[in-house]
Amino acid sequence: MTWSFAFRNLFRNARRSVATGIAILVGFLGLVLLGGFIFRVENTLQAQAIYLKYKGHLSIFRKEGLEKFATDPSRFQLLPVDVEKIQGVLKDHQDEIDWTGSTLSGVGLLSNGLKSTPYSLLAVDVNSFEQVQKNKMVRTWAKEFVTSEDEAYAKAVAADPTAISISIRLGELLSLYPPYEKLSEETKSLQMAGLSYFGDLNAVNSELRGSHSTGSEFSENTSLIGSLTLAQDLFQTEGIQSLIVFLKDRTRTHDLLASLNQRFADTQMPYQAYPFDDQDISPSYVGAKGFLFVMSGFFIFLICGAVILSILNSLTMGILERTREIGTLRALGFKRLQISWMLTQESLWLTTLASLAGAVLALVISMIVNQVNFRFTPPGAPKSIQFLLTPEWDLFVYSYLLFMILSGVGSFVMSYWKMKSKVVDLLSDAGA
Amino acid sequence: MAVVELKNVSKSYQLGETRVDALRGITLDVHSGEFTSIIGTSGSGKSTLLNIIGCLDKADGGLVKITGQDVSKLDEESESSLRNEKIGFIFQSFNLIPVLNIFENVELPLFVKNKLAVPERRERVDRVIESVGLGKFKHHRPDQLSGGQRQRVAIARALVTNPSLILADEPTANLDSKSAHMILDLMADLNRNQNVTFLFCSHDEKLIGRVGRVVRIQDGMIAE
Repeated sequence: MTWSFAFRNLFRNARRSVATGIAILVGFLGLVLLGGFIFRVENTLQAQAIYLKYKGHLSIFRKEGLEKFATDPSRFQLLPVDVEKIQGVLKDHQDEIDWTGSTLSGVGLLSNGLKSTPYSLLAVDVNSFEQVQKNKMVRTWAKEFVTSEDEAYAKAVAADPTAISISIRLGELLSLYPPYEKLSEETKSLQMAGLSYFGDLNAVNSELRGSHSTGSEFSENTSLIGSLTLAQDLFQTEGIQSLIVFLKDRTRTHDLLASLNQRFADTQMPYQAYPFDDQDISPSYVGAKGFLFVMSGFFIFLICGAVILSILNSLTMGILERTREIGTLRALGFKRLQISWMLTQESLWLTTLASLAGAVLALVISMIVNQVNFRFTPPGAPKSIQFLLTPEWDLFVYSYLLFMILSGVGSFVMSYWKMKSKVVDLLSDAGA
Repeated sequence: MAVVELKNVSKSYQLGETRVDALRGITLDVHSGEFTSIIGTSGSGKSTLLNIIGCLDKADGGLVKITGQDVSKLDEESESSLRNEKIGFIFQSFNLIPVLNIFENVELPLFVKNKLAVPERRERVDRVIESVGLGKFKHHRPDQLSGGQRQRVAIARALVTNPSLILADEPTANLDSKSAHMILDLMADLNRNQNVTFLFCSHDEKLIGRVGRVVRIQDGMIAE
């Protein structure tokens, strides 16, 4: 009966209940939509860091290779024998791994016979190019970042390992402007010069088959993507910089990381695995995520604060108005705990009804906003993405639970505290 | 058997800078089955006395025993249990819960312990509502009833736990004379036929002839 009693009490001062309900509804709406937005951006940033930047869920380097490869690549590269040993360890986790790839990076000069400009090469095995293009997470969350040019380049590099993709700004430095497929074969033929791992200057021919954008002013002038074969040919090595591991389930990243590093340590293998969310592996992802979480944490704090204050204000007014009634219940033998629970049930009812209305409104607003197609560029992203609100069901559930806990605990503590007065004072309306 | 035993009970209040001695050494026994009225003028201490007997307030000194139990030794929880099990209350302003119907108002004290099975609880509530003559109104809300009917509901609510004692603070003060007589008749009837022990306070001297025992209180002391 107490739940029914609590429900009926909501209608005693309907205007106040509605006002409090609206505050809860707006808070719930804010939380769900903010959560939906964060969920979308977080997934997009993850898809970018893991797949589009070819970091994998895990990157395995020679020990200290992450920090020292750039200055001493021949010493910190992973040779085929190392790759074989690492693959041997990964075999134990075969069920969890989607695929593994290899990366190699380096710097040099890119020339078209007329002009030369420095480049920063990221070379990836051909299979990874293909896998990334068709990856579900990329297609779901970062489809704006995958253009038809990227797909064309993935096909081109699979057929011809000398195919390269350059950033648009790098092309402009060589007086090359997209669309590159309209350029003559002669113009598309570029020479890449670099220092081999033996210390000699080496050069290879490459074919301009694609363009891309890094989203970073700093790297946009020099970014060049090519095949691992091309890079190994250029740097005169059979080695790679890192072995990248793509998992089937990203939530397993840190478990597998711990397991691999433990295994490397136990068997004294000189390798070290890093997760995609390591500051040194994906600084832009970690930075953007940190900013996003601090910002959203602040908003969540404000939302929750406003909601709990509204609930407590409404409850205080309710207790003050019903002091004599509370005294009557105490006189009839109800304990403070029981009455506090009754008053808490009122808050829980109000929270439930307002959350339900908020959930419906959140779905409607998401639908409208997603139809309107607002666009924005997340920090570190190469292009603008749609301002999608994707409130997932678990967001609704967590927001509801959070509000129920806030209103439940807040109401219970406050009402219990307010009822410390003597029964006789409550009955004479002088208590609470 | 004494349902209420008071020995040398005192109670004072601080009213601003003035100390008011509301009760000064009250000694009183109320026995099972008695129909007792505490009569006194406004400010004589009758409501304070009733509050102390009903464990709604604490005495400053003296001994208060309800059904043999020394209430000064009870904590808040035990006092609540004692009120629920042993004492029924009838208030001057009825103090019914406006959002509950008559049946639910009467049923309310039974939820404190929730010891009865649902059919037994419903049967008991129905019986008590019938005994105060409100069987036809059990689905009405308090605001749909007259003052006299509301006080009958309050009586039914006080009766429903089968208490050892029913305390009534000016139960007829908010009623017209006809309703007041009907309420007194009902209480007297319940006392006579069901041996319910009533202790109520009033300032109305006209009630003297209608109760079994009158206790006069004046300036916080028993006058006779």
